[in-house]
Formats: sequence, structure tokens, C-alpha cells
Amino acid sequence: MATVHSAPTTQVQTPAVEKGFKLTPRRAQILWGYFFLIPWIIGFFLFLLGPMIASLYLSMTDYNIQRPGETHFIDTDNYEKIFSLQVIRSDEDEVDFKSGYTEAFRIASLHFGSRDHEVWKAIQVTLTFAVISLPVNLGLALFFALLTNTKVPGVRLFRTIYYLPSVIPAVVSATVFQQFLRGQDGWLNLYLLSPLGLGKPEWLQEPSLAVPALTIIGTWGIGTTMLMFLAGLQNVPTELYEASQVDGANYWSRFRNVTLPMISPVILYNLVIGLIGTFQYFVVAYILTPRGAGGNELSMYFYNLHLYREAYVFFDMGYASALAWILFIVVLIVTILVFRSSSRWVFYAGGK
Amino acid sequence: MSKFLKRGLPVLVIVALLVVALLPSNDAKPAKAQDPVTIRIFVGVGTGYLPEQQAAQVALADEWNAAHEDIKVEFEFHDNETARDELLTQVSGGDVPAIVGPAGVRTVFEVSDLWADITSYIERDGDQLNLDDFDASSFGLYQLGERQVAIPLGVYPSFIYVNETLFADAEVELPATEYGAWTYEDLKATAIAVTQDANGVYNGEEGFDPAAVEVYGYFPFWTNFRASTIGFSPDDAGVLIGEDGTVTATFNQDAFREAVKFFHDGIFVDNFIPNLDAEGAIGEGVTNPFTSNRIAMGRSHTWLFGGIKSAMDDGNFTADWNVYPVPVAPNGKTTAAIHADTFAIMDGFENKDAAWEVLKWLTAPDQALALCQVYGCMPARLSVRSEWESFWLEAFPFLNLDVVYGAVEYLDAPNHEGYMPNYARAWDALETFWASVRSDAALDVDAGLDALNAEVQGIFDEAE
Repeated sequence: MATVHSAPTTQVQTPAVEKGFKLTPRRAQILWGYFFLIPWIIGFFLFLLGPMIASLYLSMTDYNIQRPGETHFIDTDNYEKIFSLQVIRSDEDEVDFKSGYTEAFRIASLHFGSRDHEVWKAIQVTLTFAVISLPVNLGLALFFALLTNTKVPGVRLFRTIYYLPSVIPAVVSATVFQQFLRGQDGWLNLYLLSPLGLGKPEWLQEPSLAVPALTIIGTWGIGTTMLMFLAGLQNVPTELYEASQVDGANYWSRFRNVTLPMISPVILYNLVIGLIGTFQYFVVAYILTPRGAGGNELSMYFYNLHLYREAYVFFDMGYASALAWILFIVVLIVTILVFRSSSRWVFYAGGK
Repeated sequence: MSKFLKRGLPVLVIVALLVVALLPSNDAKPAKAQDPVTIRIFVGVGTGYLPEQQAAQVALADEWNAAHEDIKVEFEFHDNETARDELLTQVSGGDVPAIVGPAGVRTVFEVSDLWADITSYIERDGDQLNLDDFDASSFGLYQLGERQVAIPLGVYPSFIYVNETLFADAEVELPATEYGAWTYEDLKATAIAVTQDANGVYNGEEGFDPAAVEVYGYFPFWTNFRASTIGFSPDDAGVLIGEDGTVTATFNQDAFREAVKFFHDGIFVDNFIPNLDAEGAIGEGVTNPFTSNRIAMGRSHTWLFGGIKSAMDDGNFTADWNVYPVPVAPNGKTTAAIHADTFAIMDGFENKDAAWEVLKWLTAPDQALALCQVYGCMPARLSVRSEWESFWLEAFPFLNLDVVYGAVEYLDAPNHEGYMPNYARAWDALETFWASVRSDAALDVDAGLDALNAEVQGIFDEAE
């Protein structure tokens, strides 16, 4: 006959107030938790937080890896250099800025000089690319997700085909696109544009074509975003569509009033990831331009390219650290703003 | 005990691990007095790092180590892509190698503060070194003001490589074989005549399509602004160093204007030089652009011999070819750019006496010859050049050695990779301009050079 025993109690009768440190089972469990977290904690301190604090300190020095013995603490001078601007109003093509300043950009008769004119170009290129490329890529990814969310034969094959480019390393696809976009014998010009009488645009040389060229290359890697959208689309309850159809809604109306709100959390996710990726854009521009120097008229000179060159071409680690911190802060602010705005346009079925 | 294990052990383990993690490592053992000095040779900033090149260098080190107890030699190989960053990281961290090389002139001058001045050693051991065995001019390649930072190991003179088969096809006369016998105007006329489009139409003939050039008359590939323009014999290679040490940029002098116009017009007006975009296409799938059969003439250095030999051995390049002198510049001077490789002692390495002993050995005739055979350079020592010569004459019996040796007589001093203050930034500004010369048809060359010179002068001044 089975005997039923009452389960042994694990509760220890501990006085509520006791002198000295008492290791209760609860505390022991917490400590064991920390014990198993130790490898991560050590890694976090040594390889993430430590270098971050070190780079914050370095950003206030003139540390150059070629002359480590001549490093000085220079306070916020690196940050002042990034944001330094002198404005001169003149109709002349050339104006005299104060010592150390060169023209960064010009708006009508206003000449803007800076101690680092390239950083302003880098900001302009990065923002332009973000404004053009991000909506195009998100839109295309959603379009392909909608296409592959239909019940037609072979749709899985199409999903695979659209996703395949995403598993190709960026370096490889950049090298392939370098050939694809070449002026004289690039495949795009040779087999498509030239036969159509559109000539042979110098995609990688002509500054005005730089961002369009990079946007074309960007469409190559929309597979992951497309999959995210696809997952979102497949989670939309079919009864919502059925109900809207009963109400007489057409396709566009269903898309606007049912699909978009229901996948808005996925849009938010893809938008944030896309924004961060755009601000950190580097590999393709580095490979496509000779010496990774940003191309003609710095038309592919992204912020990260500037950061990289200051650090690893000119070895100016102090200034590069300051650039990295500014990038970190800007990305943080933009991400917070996007999240803040999400309460107005993101719909969560189960509430926030 | 079990209670202790269950409750107390985690606390002890956490504390112990944190203490261990935060304690400084103590890898550096104090050297014993009798320990031999290790001379670590950092290889990778130039050639010498490839797997097939390593064994011969290790064998040399073994040879030294077998004969010496007090000083040991160790070659340390780094991939060229990352070698410069790794070297600077080591230096920054206090782990300074004794010797770095083989290093080109640019590498030496780019980080000129890092090298030890070996002037006093050379003066002390001059007889032992047999200084007369060097080209005097090549010795001057590593002169940095009053400091001599290296002894040349090998040199790479440059000349015009000519694909004679393409000339025969075009029925164009080959260039002159003596120095001083042809000019850049002659080169231009010849290059235009052998330039051919994809339909087989030559430049100048009716129907020639400049947008589909198959064979370019001239392409000085794998080069840069200073290397490409030095053939026009500018004074001071664009960097005038005054007696008081002030440095003036002279990149807008006439010789540079003529050089840049020659290239810009050659690309966008006369269509015999590829633009930046086409350069990439020519180099695809070949060991070097010259073996693509798309270049009739190209200026390059002796290090191209290896690539041509390998393409010929593989049957990928079967054209007749030879080397021809560089042309005379419009100012009447002839200049043939030269590259050089060397080993240099790092200033931060403490035991320089030991490093100097190894450096002397590395640049002695036998070792210099052995290393040059690995690196592909022409030995800077005259006494061992005959063996280098025999090797290449066996590979290319037709090779015009008069042109090869003649180029050394016209080498560029100061060198096109020579000293500039704030080297990396100045070099970058020059290269940015050079990229626009090769890609921007609308570039105003004169205005561009004036702006470039002002920018480079600003970079020089920044270093002050």
C-alpha cells in the first residue's frame, strides 16, 4: 500500500531580524544564479563596458597609436572639432575661414567652415542614404512579403529565392555589384540600359548616382526583413479579413485598415533595425570606393567610413573614439524617438 | 558541510573568480642574465609573409641560431592586410619587435618616428658592411634628414613593359631601347596608335568606340599619384624641405601640371589610358593587368617579373614582350621611379646592439641574395646581382637588362614615396585627387592642383 508522505518543507524558519549576514536559501539561489552568470559578467566588464569606458576616456585625449607616448588629455576638444562651425555670408566662391577651418558645405551665400569638413559630408551622405534607402528597402520587403503570402503553387520556392541573397556575405555581394554596376562593361549597362538606349551611366563614379547605386545594392539584402514581414502577415487573424470583406472592403482598404495596423509592431522592429543598420553602414561603401575613401566628391563617404579612416588610416584613435560616441548617442536618441512615436502608430492587439 | 556547500561556496567562488579576473597577469618573467637576446623580426608590412615565402626565412633564422648562443633570431609572420595595424598595436602595447621588414620606402616614412637611427653603427662598421658594394643612390633612399634608418636590401627599378605582339598586330613601331631617345609625346602617339576597341577598330580610325576599348595603349597600373607623376621629373618629388626644416608642398609646379594633364587627357580625350572604372575590369582574372593582353604598354617595377613568369608557366600569357626605357619628361629630365625593400630596427627596442648585429647579417651578400630570391627584389648589393640576373635570364632569355640596370641610374631621389609630414593624411589627400583625375572627365586640372597643393600644405602645417 502506498504511503503518502507530506513533502519536506524547504522553508527555513529564519527570524525576520537577525544580527549579521544570514545566507538564506533564497539568497543562495540568487548567488548560484550569479555564479553561472560569471563568464558573461566577466566578458561584459572586460570586453564591452571596459572598452566603452576606455574609449570615453580616449575620446578626451589626442591618443595616436603611432605616438602613444605623446598622448595628452585635451578635455572636450575632439567633440568641439566634430561640431565646429564657422558661418560666413559671401557671394564669392571662396572665403577665408579662421585658421584650421575649411569649407564643409554651402547653402546659397552662406559658407559653413569646419575643423573637420569631412564629418559634415559623412553626416549628409548617411542621412541622405537613410531617407532614400530605408523606405525603399522596407517597402520592397513588404511588397515581396505580400507576394509570397499568397497560396499559389511554388510560393515556398519564391520565398527561398528572395531570401537567398541575405545569406551571401556583404563583402561578396559588394564585389559582385562592383562588376554589375561598372560603367563600360557592367552587366546592368551592357545588357539592360544600353540596349534600351539609356547609355552607360557611371554608377560608381558619378556622385549623383552614388546613393541610387547603393540603394540598388541594398535591395539585394531585403530577405531577412521580408521574412519578418511574412511572419507578421501570417499572424494576422483571417477573421479580420473575412469581417472586412463582409463589410465590403476592397483589397487596398483591407491592406490599409487591417494588414498595416496588425503588422505595425513588425514594421517598428524593422524600422529600428534598419535605422541602426543605416547609421552603421560601412562594408559596401568601403569595398566599392578606392582605398575605402568614399569615392568621387565623397559621394559614398558614410559616417562609419570616416570613423574607420580616422582610427585605422590616420591612427587618430582619440578623435575616432569621440566620433564613435557621437554615433552611439545619435543612434540612441533616434531609436528612443522612434519608440516614443510608436504609441501613435503601432497597434498591439493585446495592448502595450 | 552540505549547507556550507549550498550556501557559502558560491560566495567564495564569485569572489575568487572576480579577484583572479581582475588581477594583472604576470606573464613577463624577469630575464635571467644568461638568457640569450631574442631578435624578433616582424614580417608582413611588405612582402615576405606568404606561406611559400616563410620556409626560406625560417631556414635562415635556423642557420643563425645554430651558430649563435647569445642572440637568437625569430621571424614572425603577419598577413599584409593587417600587418600595419598589428605592428602599431604591438608598439603601442610596449611589445616592440626588434626589426621590421621587408619594408618599402613608404612604410618607413609613413611611421618615420618609429625607426632607430643607425648612422653611428654604419660609421662604426662601415668597412665590415663594404658600403662600396651598394648603389650610392639606393643607400640614400632611407635617409631621413640627418638620420639613416636602414640599409637597402633590394631594389625594384621601373621601366615600360611592352606587349610586342599587340604592337605587331597594330603594325606600330616598337619604342626606342635607349634612355633619352623617346619622350612622353612619343609615348602618347604610340599609345594612341595601338589602342583598339572591342570591334577591332584602332584609335583614330573611323568608327572607333571610346566607350568600348579593348586594348589600351598605356596603363601604369598598381600605382598612385606620386608614382605616376614622378616620371615627369618634378623637383623634390613635390616636397621641398628647407634648410631650416620647414616643409613646402610643391604639387602645383609645372611638372605636376603636365603630368596630370597627360593622364587626364589620355583617359578622357585621347582614350588610350583606362579610367578608374575600366582599371578594375582589366585586372580581373589575371595575376597582373599586363598579362591580360589588354595593355600595350605599362610602367611597372621588377617585381612584375614573378607574375609574368607565373602567367607564362601556366600558359595564360603567351605574347612576346620586353622592357623599354621610361620616356624623357617635357622638362628634359628622365626619372624612373624605384621601389626598395629593407629591414629597419625599431627605436623602441632596447637592445639595439644585438638588433644591429642581426641587421648586418641580414643585409650581408649571402643573406641578401637568399632573401631577394624569396622577395623578388634585385639585390641592392652589386656583388650578388649576377646571380639574380642569371635567374631571370634563364626565365626570360630575351630580357633587355640594359634597360633594367639603366633604370637604376635614373632613379627618383628624393623618392616618390619619400618623407612628408603628417604622411598618412597627406598621402590620402593626394590619392583622393588622383582618383578624381582618373574618374572625373570634367575636372579642372589646374584649379584642382592648386587646391590640392593648398590642402597638402595645410596638412604639412598641421604636423608642425
